[in-house]
Amino acid sequence: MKKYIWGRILRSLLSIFLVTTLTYIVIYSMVPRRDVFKSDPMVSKLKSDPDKLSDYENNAFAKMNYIEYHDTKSLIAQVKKDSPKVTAAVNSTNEKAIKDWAQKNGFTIKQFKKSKAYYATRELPLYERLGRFYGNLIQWDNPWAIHDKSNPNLKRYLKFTNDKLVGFALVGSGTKYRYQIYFNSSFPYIHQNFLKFNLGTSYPTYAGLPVSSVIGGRQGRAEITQYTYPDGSKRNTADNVYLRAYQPKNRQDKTEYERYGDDYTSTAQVLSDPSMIGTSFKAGIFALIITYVISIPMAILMAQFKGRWVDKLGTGIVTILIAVPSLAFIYAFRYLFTTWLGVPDSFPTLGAEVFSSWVGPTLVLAGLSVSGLVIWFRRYMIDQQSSDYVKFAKAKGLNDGEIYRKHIFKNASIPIVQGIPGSIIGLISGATMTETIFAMPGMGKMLPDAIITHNNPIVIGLVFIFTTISVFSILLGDLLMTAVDPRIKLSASGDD
Amino acid sequence: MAKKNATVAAEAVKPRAVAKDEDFVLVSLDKKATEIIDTPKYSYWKSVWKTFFANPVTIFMLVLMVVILLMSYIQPLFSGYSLMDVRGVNNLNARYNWPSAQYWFGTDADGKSLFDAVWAGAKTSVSIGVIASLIVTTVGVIVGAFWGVSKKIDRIMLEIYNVISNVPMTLIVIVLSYTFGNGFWNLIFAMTVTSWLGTAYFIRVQVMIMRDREYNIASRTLGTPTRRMIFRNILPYLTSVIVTQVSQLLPSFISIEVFLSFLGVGLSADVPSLGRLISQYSPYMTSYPYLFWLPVLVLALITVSLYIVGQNLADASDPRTHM
Repeated sequence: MKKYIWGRILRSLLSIFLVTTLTYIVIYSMVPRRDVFKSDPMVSKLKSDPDKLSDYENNAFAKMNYIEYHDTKSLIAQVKKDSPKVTAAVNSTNEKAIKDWAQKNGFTIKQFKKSKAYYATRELPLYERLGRFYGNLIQWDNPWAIHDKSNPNLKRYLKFTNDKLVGFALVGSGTKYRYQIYFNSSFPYIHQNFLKFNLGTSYPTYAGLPVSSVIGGRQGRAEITQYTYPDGSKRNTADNVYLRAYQPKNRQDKTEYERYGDDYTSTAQVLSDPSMIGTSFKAGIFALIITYVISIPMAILMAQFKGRWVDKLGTGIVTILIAVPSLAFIYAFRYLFTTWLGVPDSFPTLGAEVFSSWVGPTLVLAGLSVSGLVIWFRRYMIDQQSSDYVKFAKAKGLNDGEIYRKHIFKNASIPIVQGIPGSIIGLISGATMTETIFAMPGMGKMLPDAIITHNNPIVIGLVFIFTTISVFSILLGDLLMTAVDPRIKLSASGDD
Repeated sequence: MAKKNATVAAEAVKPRAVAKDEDFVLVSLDKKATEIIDTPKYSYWKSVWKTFFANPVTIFMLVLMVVILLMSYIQPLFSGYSLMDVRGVNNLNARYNWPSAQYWFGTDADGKSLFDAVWAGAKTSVSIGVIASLIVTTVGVIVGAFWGVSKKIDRIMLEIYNVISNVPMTLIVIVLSYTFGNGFWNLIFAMTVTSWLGTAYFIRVQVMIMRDREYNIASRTLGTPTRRMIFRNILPYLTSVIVTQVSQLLPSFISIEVFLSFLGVGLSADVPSLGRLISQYSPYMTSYPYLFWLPVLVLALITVSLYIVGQNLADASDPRTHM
């Protein structure tokens, strides 16, 4: 069994890798690269200055790993290593030196339209881009992570102490983040900073931000908390002290340095609303629970009164729910919820802090998967009805309720337990529509948004996250099934 | 005759008093009666249609479906609806008219009849659904059939399936239609390029169930080639399963097309579609509700009628329902 699980985990990882790689290749080779500027306001602003425009465009391409780019300054710096006499002036000796360097390193030399200054670009082949993507994907923080020439005496250690600012924490120095592991009152109470995913840089929306912080970073307005600093002062601040990161000496602020007492003064703000991934998860988990709470009793009722009006009515409702396109379904139920329950029809109207904003999207998301679950669960229960153990239970004199609750339900729930992850996949698909229609700032809304604005790094990041979630939820479902029914041996299912 | 036999058989089971001689009557041999072969005539397709038309709901849905299909293919021929036509945009009297005898579904912001727009959109949506389902079913059934009987293909295909099936289909279609660009055939390609795997896997399982039945083992022992086994022995048994698949695929493809057009990803700007209408008019939900709800209603009617007709056809094509 252990061997089987390891095999499955390896396969799941391979599956994630393949899907992400394929998406990466398909997107970066088939979407015209100029499309990224279609919705970028900077491009029209810079149109009057062609030099700045081409510099801006090349920088953008370089950020997205399409090309390697050296502007005039860094090009000259590079060439100087080979031929120290070179200058930025446009003349034949410089041009020769630069061209020689370019030939050696595989770069192409171009000149800006107006100033005629040189710059160099190099197309990155797809495999190199992929290599960079996966090479930078997982980032471990360690005491040797920071190399700052202006701060040669930086101490390098990891120790578990009672920090004056955040309480008990694994504190690092020489690391990128000050607190490697810390505890606080927000779920899940124990947090880490030593392992981060780097999914690239977002562009053109959220330009320059890392994809992981666009998707995983909190949103909304700044939230102020009171902290007691190591120097004894009490201060209200929106800075997230838990995420203090190293700030190079030359960019440090003196008062900040004195306040914290160390070099870790770069902080992000504490924001009020959950991140995109958090929003989607919150709505998703509650939707999953609601789905089961609605559909299991409904299926039991329908199976128990098979062929009677309850069953017929239920089947009719379920058939219509399956057949109606999700878009129509979502709009219709949004309309019903806003008129009946008085909840807002779009999420940002009241915002994430207000409970009623969550009601609509979560209920709709749950409703989308109810029909599928009811139909399967009813089928399983009816299949069980004619089995021998049910007849025996009847012969023993158990009443219908007992038979359904104690015998049929347990046996029919085995495939349902295995189906939980399937519903998670359904929730992901449903979330893209529901969140878009409710304007809910989650991952599901981000995918269409990113596609419309041609934000390729975010698209790939989301595909990676969605694939990871669904692959591991399928694995989890299989494991859960063996836990529910010990008779099932996954490793023996040779022919599947 | 059959009934009489049945009653005799039932009586034979009952414990009775010991039979006496006078209970029996001598029957002479009737040569004519022995010549009659007494099996009811059975024709598969005739029984399918008989069962299919026995349900009044099905007939209603079938009529609805035919009317909708005819409307969406014939009405656009006469209306000459074009998305690019904005002649009425400055004519304030022609814009935003509520449904009336002249404009059955009212008029939109460009002064065009919504009735024309809905049917032109329905034509695109239905066409995409039908073409995509046809492609997926054909490829899926053929690949699935060979997948089910060949162990070699099984090993390779299972690995491919495991990778693809882990990813939500909507996600794949969205990303692919983004990368292939906008356009009718691009969208169909994006929808079908991986979806057939799901159908193929489903058929594979069904084929594997049939493959090892006694009659197939016998057939194989007698030297029937694989292709003949698939197309003559196995696939005819899967008619109802395949029809069920189609009846589920059609609405789901229409639904995906609508959603993609809603996002503005799938079709190019000059192709009318129900999804485009719905997304275009969703801001008018409270001010001009007919602009939004009528396309939604037509869309729902299309998929519901297709689904129910398909499901009932699938039920009818299952020989077990013919008794």
